[in-house]
Amino acid sequence: MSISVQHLHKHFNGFKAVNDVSFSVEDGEFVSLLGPSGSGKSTILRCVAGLEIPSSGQIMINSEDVTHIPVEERNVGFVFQHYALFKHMTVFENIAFGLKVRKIPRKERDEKVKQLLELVGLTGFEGRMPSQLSGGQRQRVALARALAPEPKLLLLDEPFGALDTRLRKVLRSWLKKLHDRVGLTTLLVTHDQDEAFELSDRILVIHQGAIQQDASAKTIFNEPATDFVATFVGETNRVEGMVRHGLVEWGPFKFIPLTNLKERTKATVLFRPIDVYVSSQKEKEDEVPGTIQSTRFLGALEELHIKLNDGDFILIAQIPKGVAHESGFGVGKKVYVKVTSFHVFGKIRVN
Amino acid sequence: MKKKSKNLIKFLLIVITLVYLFVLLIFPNFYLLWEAFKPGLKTFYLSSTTHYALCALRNTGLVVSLSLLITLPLGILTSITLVRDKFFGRKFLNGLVDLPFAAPAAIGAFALMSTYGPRGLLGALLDPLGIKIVFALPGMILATVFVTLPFIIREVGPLLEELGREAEDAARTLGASRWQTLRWVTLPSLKEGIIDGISLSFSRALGEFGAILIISGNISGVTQTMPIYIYDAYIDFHMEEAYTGAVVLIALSLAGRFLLELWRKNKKI
Repeated sequence: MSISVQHLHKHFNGFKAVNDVSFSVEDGEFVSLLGPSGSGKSTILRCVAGLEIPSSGQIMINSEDVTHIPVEERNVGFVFQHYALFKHMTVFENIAFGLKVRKIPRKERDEKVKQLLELVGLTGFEGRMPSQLSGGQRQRVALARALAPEPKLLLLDEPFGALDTRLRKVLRSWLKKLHDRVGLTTLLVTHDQDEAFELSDRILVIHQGAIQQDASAKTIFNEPATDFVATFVGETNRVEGMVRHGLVEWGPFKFIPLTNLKERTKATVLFRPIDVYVSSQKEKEDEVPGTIQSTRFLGALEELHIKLNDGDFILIAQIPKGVAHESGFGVGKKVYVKVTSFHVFGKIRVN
Repeated sequence: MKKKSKNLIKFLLIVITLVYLFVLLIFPNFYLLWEAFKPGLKTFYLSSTTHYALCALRNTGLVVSLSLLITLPLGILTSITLVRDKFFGRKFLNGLVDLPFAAPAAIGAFALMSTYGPRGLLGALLDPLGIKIVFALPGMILATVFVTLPFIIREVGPLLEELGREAEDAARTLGASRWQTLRWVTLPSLKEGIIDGISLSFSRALGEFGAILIISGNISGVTQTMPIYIYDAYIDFHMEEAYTGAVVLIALSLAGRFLLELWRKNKKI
């Protein structure tokens, strides 16, 4: 089923939690709403579910206007961050709940619950109470419960937020497989970019109640649309330079912007640590000398904090561990650096 | 050595507890039972089935059950409103709920009396319609509702806070209507608090003396409840009736507790 949200606004006592948000999700697509906490992404999801009533705007599910249809009639599966299981019911009763309220005959109900227990790998746990389950098991019960009434779409609100890192990764790939198999249109709210990157066909980056960028993971990482997206997604060097003769100057560096910027104004330059080229000998004219101040171990990558010789400028580079080792990059080492890819955000000159 | 002194302390603590319970609880109550049954079962039967005793029993039964029937749903409703809705004056109302705890029950009854009595503001309006509140069952029920009002609200409130909104939201997304959500998710989650609230209200309603004494006018054979009947029998030196009345009241209290514990253990409801 497809979703279409048009000019959604939601205000809480004058606070604009969601401010003119429009997007659509295709049938079978997996879309993530990615943003920091308090950005309004959960509110958008709750509006789609019908748990919040929009201040204005329109929500369509499969070309049907559901803006004023109560939550229980929308037939959406919703998974909450803290599971929201019914504590006084067994695993079986929890999963069967959506079937019971629809007055599905007992035999059919039992069959369906059995299938779902198998799907989430919890066969044999039907008699347990939620308090007797681990966090990961609880969240799988919550998923099975949401899937039981065969919803038109699946809405996930930080579903793995309360779990530890290792378990989060396991459940993430499990969810990916589940989506590939079931093919349900899914909307995921998360503040974890790895989660959004791994799972989604498309990502909406949300900040201050508005969509910053609506694109694939690759595009968002390589071509961030705004300063915010570039800083929020992935690690970034964020520096402020001055526009002179059409170039943005930052210390010894001169960045060429894609658009014409107003002369003598400040412009923000963003570049990722992995886009900093580091060498021990000067190979080309535009490489700038510096000294390694500190290093940080990141597993597969080595992070170098490099102070430029010319002025008080520091930048962060990340290079493969092997390369760092071979070149003998350690604290105090003199190196040459170059920025291979960057983004400039500044005041555009209007002619 | 150290172990020995530890054991000694343990022993002393047990002795103190036993003596305390025996002096205050076990001995007096068993003595009461003994006094009640001393003249024989036949006398016990006769003195517990007089017109006055049966009338008191009936009144106690009506007051306890009808007052509970009012406080239970209204208590739960008030609790939900006080916990969930943010309206002007909520804090003030929240404090007001405890008034029956803070003020003596007799004062509450007196307030009801002055409002609903024949010369009271509302009483003067109801009297011509033939509706009697004070010196009658309705007033006694009202007074009991007044003194038991905080129990359900205070027992259910914390559980409601703990429950939060998510479980109910989940039920709604799964297709449950508001009513189904209340019936299958909210109320079962509040069960412990509801049982505790009923238990406290029940004991209080069963034993209420001061408030009932004032509002009922103490008309023997008409508006007396068990505690007042016992008091009257005692004052008039009808010791046998006082003892049997007390035993009946204790039996009622234990039976009520027993039924509530059965309900607590029942997984279905």
